Amino acid sequence: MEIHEDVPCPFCGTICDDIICKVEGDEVVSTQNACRIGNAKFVHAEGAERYKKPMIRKSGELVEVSMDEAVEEAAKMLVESKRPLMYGWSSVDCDAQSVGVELAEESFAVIDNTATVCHGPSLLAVHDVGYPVCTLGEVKNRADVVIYWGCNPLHAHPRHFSRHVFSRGFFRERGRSDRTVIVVDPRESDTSKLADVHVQVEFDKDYELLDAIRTALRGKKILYEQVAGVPRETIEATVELLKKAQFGILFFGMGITHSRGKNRNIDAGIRTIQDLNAHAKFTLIPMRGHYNVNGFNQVCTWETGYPFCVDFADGSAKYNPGETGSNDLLQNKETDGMFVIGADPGAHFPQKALEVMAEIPVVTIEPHRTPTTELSDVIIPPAFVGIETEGTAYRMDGIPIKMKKLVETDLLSDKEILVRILTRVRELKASK
Amino acid sequence: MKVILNTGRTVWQGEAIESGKDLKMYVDYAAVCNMSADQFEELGIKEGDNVEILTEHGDVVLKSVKAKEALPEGMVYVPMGPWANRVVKPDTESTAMPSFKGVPVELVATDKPVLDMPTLMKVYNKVSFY
Repeated sequence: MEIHEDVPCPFCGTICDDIICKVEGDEVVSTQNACRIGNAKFVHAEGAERYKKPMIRKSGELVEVSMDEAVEEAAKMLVESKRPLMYGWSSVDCDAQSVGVELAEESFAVIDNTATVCHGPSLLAVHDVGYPVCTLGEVKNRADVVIYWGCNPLHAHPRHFSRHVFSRGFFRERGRSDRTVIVVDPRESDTSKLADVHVQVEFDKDYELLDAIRTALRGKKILYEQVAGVPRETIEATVELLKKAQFGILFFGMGITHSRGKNRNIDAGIRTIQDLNAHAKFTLIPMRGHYNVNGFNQVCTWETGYPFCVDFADGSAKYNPGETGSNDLLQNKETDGMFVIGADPGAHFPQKALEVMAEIPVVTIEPHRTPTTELSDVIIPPAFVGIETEGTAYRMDGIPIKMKKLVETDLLSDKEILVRILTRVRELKASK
Repeated sequence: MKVILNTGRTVWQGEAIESGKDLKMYVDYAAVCNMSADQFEELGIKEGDNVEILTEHGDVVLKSVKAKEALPEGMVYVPMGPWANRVVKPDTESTAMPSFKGVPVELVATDKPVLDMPTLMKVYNKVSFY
């Protein structure tokens, strides 16, 4: 038995780096400090199917094949498709993502990642109005006003609240009691139950509420008795609270990126933070979901200039979310071959996109049986980053974290699989 | 009954996806519809009975559960996943992002069964290429 300490967790964008893992043989058998989701990621659950061999769906049934055959079919799909889509990249390390971008360029593919159904609108807003961010360390040590808008960390990022709000920091010696927490959510979420102020916005009215906050921030009178279901007095009192912050932070999530207005909501959110900086020090951090979704946006931006939805159809990088997004390409039946890695679109794309995935060849790099593998023709199982292989991941605040290898495996890493496919794609293209 | 569908994470759905999407716990925690007491009363059903959500985009059968996190009037909450995504609004409105929240839906009581993950995915009729 081995004990590994200070292990970074490969589940959510918080990447808690204080996990203790107990390893027996080639398995993590228990954890300490991890949340229940993180624990489930480290410890293999009884009865869950873990793929260990590559497979191809032949006449409707998955049949084990050699790695060479699976790589060959993956490469052929990319070379033969007129408009291949390469989607996912959020549960793989940055080195693999970098090979992925190269593979997309070589295949004249569109490369897109899970931000497209997550913080894609935030990325679009950043292009419009900028990105006043800080690190989670600064939040812990400095923040005295913490806003969670449209997110429920007690469920989605279970240790986020304890690590950055309850925890004591250099300038916040008493932890939670040195901080004011504001939660904006239409539901009485478990996070809102721990807040000092719960602003119960009407669903789909985030933009209106942000607009009213900015009106008050600029010293103007809000013309209506209530906006987005929130009384004028509550908005004005909240704004006064925000203005008095020594160091304020806005965390925001799917409640605002998924709601009506989408990227325009985030435009208004970021501008609110910019306005607040006339009165107080204020910053923001998007609550990123997958542990390395941010890493893909970093890698893709430094490789191509764009964070997601990058189209290599004519050999150079083009960018037009709304046309080159995965859901746009699938729903408009523009793509004729899909490559999935480090994500589960089968579980997280709408029905209309899945109807098209069922009709085109799908190659999936995936360790588990998932809704995506149910729609896949070729499945190649990789080693888990952060458990069976090491690699770099970017935390939600843009800090790179070295993920650890805890156990041995015979499986190839995502990067090794991608390099093999890239090599074969080049050979196939050269032989044409 | 006309309600607004909200979808998103729950910690139990999160635990289930990392444990294994082929396990019963995924159905137990993702194929559920969180409802408020007055919605149970209006539909004339008790907790654990099945409900069906219908939209112009699709339909899905879910098990009803009492919402532990109080919902605003007229809203139901379904954890994110392949069940919820049968009925969300797929159009991206040129933002690359479908509408997973704030979807107007019809909610009815039903005797139809809740499908497990592999059975649910069969509705898409995957074409074999080999």
